[in-house]
Amino acid sequence: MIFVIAGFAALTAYELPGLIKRRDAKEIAAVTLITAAALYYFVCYALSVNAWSPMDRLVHWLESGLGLSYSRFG
Amino acid sequence: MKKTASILLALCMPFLLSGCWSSEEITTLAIVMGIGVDAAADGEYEVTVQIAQPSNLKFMSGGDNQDAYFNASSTGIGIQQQMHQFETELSREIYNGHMEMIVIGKEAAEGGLEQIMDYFYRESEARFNIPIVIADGKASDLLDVELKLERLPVSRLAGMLSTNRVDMVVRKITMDDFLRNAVSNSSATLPIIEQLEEGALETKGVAVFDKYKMVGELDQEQARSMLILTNKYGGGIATIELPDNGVFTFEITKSSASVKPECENGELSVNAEVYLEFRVSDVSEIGELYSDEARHNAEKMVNAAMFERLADVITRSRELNADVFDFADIIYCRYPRESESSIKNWDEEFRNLPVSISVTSKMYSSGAVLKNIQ
Amino acid sequence: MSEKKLTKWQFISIGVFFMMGTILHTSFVSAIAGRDAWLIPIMGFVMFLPTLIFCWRIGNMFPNTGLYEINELVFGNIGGRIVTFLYFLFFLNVATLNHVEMSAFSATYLLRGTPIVVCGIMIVMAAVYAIKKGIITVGRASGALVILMLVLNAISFIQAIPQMDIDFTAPAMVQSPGVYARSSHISSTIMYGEGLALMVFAGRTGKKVNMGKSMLIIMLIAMVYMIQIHLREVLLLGPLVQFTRLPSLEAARMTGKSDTVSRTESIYSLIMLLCSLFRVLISFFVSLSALRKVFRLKTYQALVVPMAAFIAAYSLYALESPEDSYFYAVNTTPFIWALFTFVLPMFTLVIAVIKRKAKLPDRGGAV
Repeated sequence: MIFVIAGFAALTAYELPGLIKRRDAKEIAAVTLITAAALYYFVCYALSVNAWSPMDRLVHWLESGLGLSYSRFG
Repeated sequence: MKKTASILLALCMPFLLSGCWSSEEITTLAIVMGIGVDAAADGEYEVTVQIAQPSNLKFMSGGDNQDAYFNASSTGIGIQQQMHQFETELSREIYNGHMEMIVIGKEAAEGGLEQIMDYFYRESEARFNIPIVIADGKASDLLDVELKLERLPVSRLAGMLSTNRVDMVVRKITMDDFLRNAVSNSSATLPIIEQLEEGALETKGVAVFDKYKMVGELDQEQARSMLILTNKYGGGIATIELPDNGVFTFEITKSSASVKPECENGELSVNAEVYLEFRVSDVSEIGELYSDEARHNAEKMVNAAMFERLADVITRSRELNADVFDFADIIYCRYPRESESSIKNWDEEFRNLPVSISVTSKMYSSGAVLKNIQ
Repeated sequence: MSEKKLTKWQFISIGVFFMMGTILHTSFVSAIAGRDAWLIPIMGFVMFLPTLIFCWRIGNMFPNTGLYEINELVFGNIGGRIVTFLYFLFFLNVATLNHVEMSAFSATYLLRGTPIVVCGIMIVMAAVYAIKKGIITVGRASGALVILMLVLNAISFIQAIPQMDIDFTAPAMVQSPGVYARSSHISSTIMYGEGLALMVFAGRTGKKVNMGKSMLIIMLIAMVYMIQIHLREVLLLGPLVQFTRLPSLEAARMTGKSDTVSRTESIYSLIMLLCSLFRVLISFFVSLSALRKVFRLKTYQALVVPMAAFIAAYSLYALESPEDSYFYAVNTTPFIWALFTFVLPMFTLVIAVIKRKAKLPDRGGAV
């Protein structure tokens, strides 16, 4: 997993010169946020802990909470 | 700079594309050609695998291929567990992708095949079109039969099912054929192979299943009749005993059956019309067969005999409460709404289902002679 | 230097290739409809017609304008960005779920010893490479490959004919109406509905490309393709089609002419891989474009690798297990997807028609 994270970090670092040159705060913020989110999931996977997943929460809520699911109809 | 990086990347690519992570060298694999499953004590299974030794497999087949394979057996609960056991013992990874045959011992079949079939069904390497046979005795014995012209025992077994079409008593049933019948209202059948003395093998008949459990057998003649009635008969020899110990042997060269369901006033029934073409093989005390009258008499005799045999197999299947003729599917295809309630209760309905049979035969040849040489 | 545009053929081939990615999803329909699965693409197409009408009408009202630009023209600056952000979430999840299925397929059937995370990373890296090259290059590649894929598919079908049993389709249309409604809903939202991603490329197409007609051609080809796939599965597997995880692959395994032509499922696996990769790639691409549009970024190039890492990582947790992908696809996902593939487009069309006087400035609407 360390190699995976290092690999992605290296590829992202390849874009750093362009990022710095453009000095686009929104772009830097977006890259930082997405990278942080990716890191969160990778680290959770490496440590074998559960991570929060919006998709999973949504489908569970629709399934169990709202009952908006075909499984209700058998 | 970019060009250099691209060249470096291109040079590194072959190392990634060689697939070394999941590589399976043939020398690290135990190639399973056949699996045998027998019932053991306490609900366990004795699993026998026939592993090929590729380096010893000679291209030209022959009896000296005894070293081309070896069988390994293990007993335990569940087949996957035994496979892991084999991997440990053999220090090789089990590879099921080349499996040619599944042999199930009779006792295991009578106990039910759910667990066994579930393993093969879930296994992603094994294909659905692997033939299955029932061993009249132990599957492990059948996997160790004497080799005559084949390279491996499973090849001999597979060959039996292929060449069987010359005198067809049973047909090859694959895993998907079996599973299809198991999930429907029809009953599955599997060929039974018996090992005789001196290494001879014989197709004894078929095993009849109620879902996954073997409930009985059909003998050779009944199995043949079943194939005729289900329009799967490829041809073969049949014999009629004549009065005064005579015989009339004929070769059925063409067989077709038209099974039509009918529904009158909510009452379901099946109408089977069987058409046979035959050639006379050998007879005793008939005289000439080339005249119209003689030919019609021969045909009437064949009609009557085949009618009796077809009626016999229907009676037998009713005794076993096993619809081996796919009548349930045929009726449901034609009358889905009318038969809905009957199909739900097919076990009972099949026993009382009216079946009418008519047999028409045609003698198209009496052989190279016009009349008996006496 | 004028910006290169997608030709009609390139756009249609991207679309067809994208739609061919449904090959990994056939069990969603087969498991419900069983032997009638081959009829469902037709019903799904009919259910998808409102969205197709949206594509046609909105394509005529705003020619050569991408979906996200249309959102801004219809809903205004802020409203448009909100709607585009919703599409971003949708396409991101489409990319992720397709990625989950493709990784699971690779790890289960092809590279059994390889950890699923590695399979996932290889898939996104292939997508990264394609996206970095740009949509025009992808269009050129798809234009060349799509014919090959269709031909291989046709050969696979023809090869299977001797083993097919037409009786497996009978009796047809006797199941409860609920079965057909549910299967069609799944087909229209997941199989066809995700094709809404193609509307994003309208801004990159040449003036000769009529979006409505092109989408209609793509969906009709997709319908025929899906009918053929399902028909092959049903005619080969029969009642077993309801039980198998990948009926397409199992059906391919059953074909072959004795020992001379066998194991052709290896070629079929290649088709499955390439088509699914395309689906991941295009969904990834349009979600990236949405993000760029929402935050008014000058370029998305710096976002490609982080987003790929996110998809690879998120797909490990998107659902509790890859098995859930199937469960939710046949139960809950069609309702969620309907929001984005039917409700949102219809809402956009209604507002656009009401605001008929929205003028379109002459701009390419770069993606």
